[in-house]
Amino acid sequence: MDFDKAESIFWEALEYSDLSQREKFLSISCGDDQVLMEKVTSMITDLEKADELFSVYSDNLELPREIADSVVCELSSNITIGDRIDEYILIRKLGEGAFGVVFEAKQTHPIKRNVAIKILKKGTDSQTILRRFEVESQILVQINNPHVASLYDAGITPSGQPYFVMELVRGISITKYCASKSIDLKSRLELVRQVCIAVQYAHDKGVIHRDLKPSNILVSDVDGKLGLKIIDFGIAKLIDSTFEKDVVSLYPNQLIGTPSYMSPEQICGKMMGTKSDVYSIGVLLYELLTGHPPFNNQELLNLGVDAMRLRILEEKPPLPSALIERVFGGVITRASRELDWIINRAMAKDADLRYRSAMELGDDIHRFLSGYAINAHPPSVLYNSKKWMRRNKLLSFTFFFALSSLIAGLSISTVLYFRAKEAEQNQLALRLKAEEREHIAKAAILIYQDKYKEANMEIDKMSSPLSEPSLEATNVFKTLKIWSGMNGDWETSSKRVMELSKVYRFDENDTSDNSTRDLVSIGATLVKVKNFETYYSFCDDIVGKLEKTRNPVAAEQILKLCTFIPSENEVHSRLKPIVELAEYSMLKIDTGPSDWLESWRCAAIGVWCYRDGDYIKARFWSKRSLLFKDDSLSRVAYAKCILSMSLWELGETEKARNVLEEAKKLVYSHVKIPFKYNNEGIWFEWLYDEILLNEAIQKQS
Amino acid sequence: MPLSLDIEKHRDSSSLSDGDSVGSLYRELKRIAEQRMIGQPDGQTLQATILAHEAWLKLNHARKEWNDRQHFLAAASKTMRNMLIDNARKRSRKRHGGELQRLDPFILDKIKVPFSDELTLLIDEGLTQLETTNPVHTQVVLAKFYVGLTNLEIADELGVTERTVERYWASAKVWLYRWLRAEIKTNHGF
Repeated sequence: MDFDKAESIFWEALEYSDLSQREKFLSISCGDDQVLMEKVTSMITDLEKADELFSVYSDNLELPREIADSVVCELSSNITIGDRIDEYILIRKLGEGAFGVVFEAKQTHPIKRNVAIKILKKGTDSQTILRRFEVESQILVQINNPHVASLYDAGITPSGQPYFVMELVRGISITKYCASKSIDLKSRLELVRQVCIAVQYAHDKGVIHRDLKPSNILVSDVDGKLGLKIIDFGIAKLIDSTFEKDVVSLYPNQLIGTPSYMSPEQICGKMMGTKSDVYSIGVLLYELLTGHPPFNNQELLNLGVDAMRLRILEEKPPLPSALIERVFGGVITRASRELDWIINRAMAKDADLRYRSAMELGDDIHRFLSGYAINAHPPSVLYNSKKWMRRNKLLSFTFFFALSSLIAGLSISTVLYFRAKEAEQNQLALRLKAEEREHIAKAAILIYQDKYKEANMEIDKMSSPLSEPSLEATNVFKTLKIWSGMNGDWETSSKRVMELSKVYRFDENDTSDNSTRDLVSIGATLVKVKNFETYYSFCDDIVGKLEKTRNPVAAEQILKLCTFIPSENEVHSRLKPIVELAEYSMLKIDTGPSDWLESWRCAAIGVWCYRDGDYIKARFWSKRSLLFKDDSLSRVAYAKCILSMSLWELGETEKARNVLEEAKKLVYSHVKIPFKYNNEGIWFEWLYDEILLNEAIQKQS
Repeated sequence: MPLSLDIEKHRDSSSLSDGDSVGSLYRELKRIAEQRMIGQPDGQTLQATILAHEAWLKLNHARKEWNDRQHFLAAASKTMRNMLIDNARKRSRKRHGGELQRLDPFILDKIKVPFSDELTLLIDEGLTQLETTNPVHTQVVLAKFYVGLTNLEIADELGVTERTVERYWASAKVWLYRWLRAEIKTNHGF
């Protein structure tokens, strides 16, 4: 009766998950030995209890925050005052943050001056990340403005920590300055206007601050001469680029920044653009007027990430005018309503409703100060357009995302395909990549400045096809594809589409409609430039990847994509289950509610039926689509084209002609180069209509 | 910052000869802890195993230099264990004026036991006991409890099959459970 025997039987018994089998095994192994049997069974029952006990044990082991705090201490302690980093000697510690530590340092060469040096803790020392750090800092070094602290230099310490050297700015934060000196309203507004001008300067250079907050806007008062300087311009991006792998991928839910100054798009991890800075200036204005930021920072932090997001996205802070008397003793009354409007517009949750630029905000402040009518409107107008935006959110998704900014990632699940071959890169390949990156970076900057044509030219300069897909490259190509298309330059648009398709892959496990949204416009562009071969192989590829979708919206998009022209037999029949899915989903829906998703779906089913030769069904579905009362005219025109073609095939030529005329009228009045964005349909939807319309016209002439 | 001093103490007094691997583990742990803490309010805690596992995964790549894989795992377990147990002891003392609290004698019969610091300390005591009789089983438990490794990872570390790890783990659990039951009955019971 040794323990080992019992234990080995116990172990073997665990292999049998089926209880009756286990019992059988036990009775065979233990035979008549009741004691052994008893021993093993008690082990098994105790194991069950133990499992219950220990399964959650390690989830309960927690470490307190102090450990985390001590990290910062240790990290900064390996670099200390007196140390020399390249040509900088550290003199004094200025501050310490989550990402590193800032010292005042003496530069010895080539000029003697005191500088601020920010040393980041070691992120990952992968060569690509460091290169990116260099590229980013090259852009920043070009900023040269009296109100923006210059970035002098950037590099890597011998121990592999990235650092950057900035102009040493002495001063106190703008909010502290205003509070301590009881600065009057007019001067406060004047300061914010100066901030706007400085921020605009950097935006013109293609640099977004990304972390504008009072502690980054310093005011100094030397002999009555007021100086304002914004520090850390673009540093957030530098840090991001250094820690990208570590922070972003490991901690997707982690927010970095000062939440009360973060724009809704930043809080959601979406792309940030120049308008994110406009938002932050709005918050600054709010705080300078009322004495508090619109959302309390500590409160936000206590809420936790999700609730914080929700608050910044949904909640409207109290109107400044309601709080403003606290600061200025009720001196201003009438005027404050206008300030409400200005702040409202600067802080609009929807970036498209904000001032278009920092300068515009600055101008409006100037107008207010000089007694002119301001540009910001009372909320009712905003409200209306905002309501429209919300209604069309899904529709306008692609458009907004592609155009509004270029910096950060697409949150849609179309995933980028990063080729993993970092290790075996030789020097030449590295150089080519650097050039490529430079072209893309330049194009991105040109796009910031709304110079799309020049951006296209910049991309044309690229000698080789894109070898290193990046988020930035994707965004550049996407934006240029859309812009070229909108301006009628289909050749360039399709060129960008082709290049894009190389860096663009679809998450094959994602059968939702997120991944299909862009596809239809790509397909339409290919048909438009008569690149049928690519179009067919593209359709083939997409159907292969997505034919298992169970999402009716994705089904509709695949149908639309593959039916612009009569498709190849094989692809056509493979669409059958997708059509059935779409049809099935419509069974449960009564025609009547004005829902554009369903109305488009009906039309898409119709066009497939038409391609299938079932004109009666095609007529039915296009008519059903037309019963919906939503305001998407592009969909109406689409359905009318199908209806007209079906009627024609059914011999109802008179009716067919009439419907065709209606469709023509709609399409011709909307297809204007350049396309204007309006609520009657997204530009590329008019492109779909145009394709079908031309087919119908040809048939009936 | 008393706790951080404690960490230093652990590191310095560590009986492990390979000071370097322990040192880098510390750094990694702290780095990860810090990143997790960004934006978190005061008083927030971290789930220790997630922390440790992440650190371990990170260091695993750089481990060619450390010849003795088992040694590193032992170092990692020990590090985490020391920090966690010290923390539990301190908290528990603070709460109860220096005295360790008695445990509810029926605690183990409850589904979803609330893991008080007292129970954590008792479990640790049991592990110390187990170590004297069965060090290999203890290694598995420590790796699971304090570093959060999976069976496969442990198997890889110890150079045994995954099934063996599962078996050691089952035996160790039974042993530990029985030990706890007996201990609570004698010292915390009637």
